Amino acid sequence: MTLLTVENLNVSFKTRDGAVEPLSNISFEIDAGEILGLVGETGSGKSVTAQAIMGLLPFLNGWASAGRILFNGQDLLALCETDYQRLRGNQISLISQNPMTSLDPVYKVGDQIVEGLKLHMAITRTNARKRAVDVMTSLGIPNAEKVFNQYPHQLSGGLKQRIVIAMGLCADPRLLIADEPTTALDVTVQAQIIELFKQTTQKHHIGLIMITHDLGIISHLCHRVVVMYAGNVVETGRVESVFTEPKHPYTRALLSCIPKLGMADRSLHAIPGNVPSVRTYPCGCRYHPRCAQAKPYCMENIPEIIQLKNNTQVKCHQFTPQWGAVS
Amino acid sequence: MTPLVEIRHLSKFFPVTSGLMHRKTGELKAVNDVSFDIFRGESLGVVGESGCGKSTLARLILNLIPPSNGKITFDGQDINRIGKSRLRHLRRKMQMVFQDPHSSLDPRNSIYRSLEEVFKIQKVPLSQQQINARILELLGMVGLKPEHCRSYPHQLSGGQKQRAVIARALALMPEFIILDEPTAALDVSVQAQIILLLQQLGDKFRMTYLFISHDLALVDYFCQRIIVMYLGRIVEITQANLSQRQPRHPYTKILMESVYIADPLKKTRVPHIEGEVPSLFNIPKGCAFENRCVYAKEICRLESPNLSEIQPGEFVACHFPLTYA
Repeated sequence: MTLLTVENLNVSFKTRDGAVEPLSNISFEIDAGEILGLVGETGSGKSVTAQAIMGLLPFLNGWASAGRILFNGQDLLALCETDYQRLRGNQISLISQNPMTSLDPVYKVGDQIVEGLKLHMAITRTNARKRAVDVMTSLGIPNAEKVFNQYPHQLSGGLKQRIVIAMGLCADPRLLIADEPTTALDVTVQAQIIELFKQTTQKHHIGLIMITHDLGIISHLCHRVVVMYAGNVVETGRVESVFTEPKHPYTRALLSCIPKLGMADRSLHAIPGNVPSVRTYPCGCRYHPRCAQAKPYCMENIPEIIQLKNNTQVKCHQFTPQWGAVS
Repeated sequence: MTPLVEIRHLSKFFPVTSGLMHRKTGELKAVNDVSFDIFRGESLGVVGESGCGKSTLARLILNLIPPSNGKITFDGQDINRIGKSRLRHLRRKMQMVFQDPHSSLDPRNSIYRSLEEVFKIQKVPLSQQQINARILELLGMVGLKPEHCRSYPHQLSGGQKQRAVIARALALMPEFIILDEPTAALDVSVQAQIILLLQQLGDKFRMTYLFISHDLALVDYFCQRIIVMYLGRIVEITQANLSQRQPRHPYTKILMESVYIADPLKKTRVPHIEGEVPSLFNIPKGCAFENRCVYAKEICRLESPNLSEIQPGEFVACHFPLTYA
C-alpha cells in the first residue's frame, strides 16, 4: 500500500536576490514497511525534499510551487498549519543529522521524549514516562531508567542519536524521515544505528526515507533508491538493479568514484567539474557539463523521465528511441 | 633503508584543570607511547575513530605542539632539539593539508597572495618574476587555471579551495606531506578528483605521505601501509590491500566489517560490537579495547598489551592476536 506519494513537486525559496527553485519535478513514492534511500551530493535537494514533506517550507521562506504530496491519500500541501501540527511527529517524524542540535541541553532527555508524547497523545505523565522508557529500552539503551534522568551532555554521540530516534518513534509514526542520521557518528556506532533502523521499521511496519550521501548504507539498508542531482531525480529503482546495472551516467559515475575495500590500484574514477549550485543550474540536462556521453542535444533539451523494463525510471536522453539520431 | 621519519615512544598528555586556580586534576592521554617509521616515498595511512589521537599525532610530527615524551627524528635530525632557525628551514621539507580547506585559506587574501606568502615567509631567494612563474606552475600542477590567481577563497568551490591548499603545500618542494582528512569536507565526486591528484603528484615527486582518515576503504586505496589507532595507542600496523589479508587485532576486524560495501549483492555482515569508545579521560587500565572485545580474557583487563612484530612488517598490540588456519 502506498504510504506517501510525491508528484511533480517543485519547491522555491524567496531570497534577497529573487526566487530560486532548488527542487523541480520531484516524483517518488514509498510503501508502508518500505525503506527508501534518497541519495545525492551536497545541493542535490535531499534535505529540501524532507523539509517539504514535513511541511517546514513556510518557516524557511519557501513554498511548493507545483505538485502534490499525498500521505495516505491526503494532500499535505493543502493542510493548514494546525492540521499539519497534528500530523507532524505523530504520523510523520524527522530525525536530523546532528543529535546535539535536536536535543535541548537544559532539559533531561527523558522529559524531552515525554514532552512529545504528551503533545500527540491523550496520555498521563506516568504512562508517558513508562512508554518513553519502554521505547528507549527497545532501542537498546542500557539502563533506560537512569538515562531518562540524564542531560544530553552526559551521553555519548551514539546514545544521543538513540534518544533522538526514540523521540521520533514514541508516537508510533507511519513514516520516518532520517536525514543523514549517522554522519556525526563513528563507523562502529554507525553500524549499530543502521541495524536499529532496519529492525525498527520491520517491527512496526513503518515507511522509512533514509537520506544519505553514503551509497554503502543505501545498498545495505534500502529496498529502493532515488538518486538526486542538482534538484532533479535522475534515477529511481530497486537497489539491486540500480547498483548492479546503473543506467543514468551520473549514477554510474557516482558508483565508480567511491573507494571500496579490495579495489584495484588506480581504478578510482573521478567525475570532472563541480556540483552546480542552485543559481548556476545548467540548461537542458543539468548533468550535461560533467557527462562523458553528453551530446549538444543534451545542452538544449530537458530530458523526460523514462520508464525502463526492470522497473527503473531514468531521466536521460540516452534512453529515448531517437537518441541514435540526435547530434 | 633508513626511514625518513622515526617516531619513538611518542606521547602527548594534555593536562585537565579545574577550578579557579586551574589545579591539574588529571591527564588526557591523546597519544600514548607510539612508535613507528615512515619510509621515503611511501603513503602511510592512519585510521581510527574520533578521539583516537590521529590529528594530535600529525601535529606532533610537524612540531606544531611539543610532545610530553618521546622522540621524533626527521631525516636524521631530532626535530624537538634543533634550534628555531633550523626548524624553520626543515619545515620547507614537511607540509600539511588540513581537513577544511575553507579555514586553511585566509579569506582576505587572494589565492596568489596566499601562495606568495609562503615564499616570503621562508625568504626564498627568488625574484618576483620567478615567484610569479612558480605560482602559475603550481596552479597548473593542481588543475587550477591561471585566472584563479586573482580569486578569493569564497569565490571557489570546496574542491578548488582544496586544490589551492595542495598547491600551497607543494610550493617549496617538500619531501613529506601530512594529509589530515583532506577530503572529509568534500563531496564524493570531488573527493575522487583530489585523491587522484594527490596520487599523481605523489608519483611525480616521489612524495612521502602520512594520510589520516576515518575512512578505512579510502586509506586502504591510497596507502601502502596502514596504522590502526584506538584511544591514543597503535593497535595494529599492517600492509594495505586489506581485503587480501587477515586482520590480527579484533578492533581492526570490527573496523573492516563496519564498512558498508556499495553492492547490494554483498550484504555486509554487521559486526556485533557492544558499547562505544570509552572516554579519553578514563581509559581502562589494561587493554583499552577490552570492554568491547569478544575475545577478552582476564589478563586483558589487567595488563596493557605491547605492540610487537608478529611477522616482518606486521605489528599488533593484543594479548591474543587473531590467527587463521
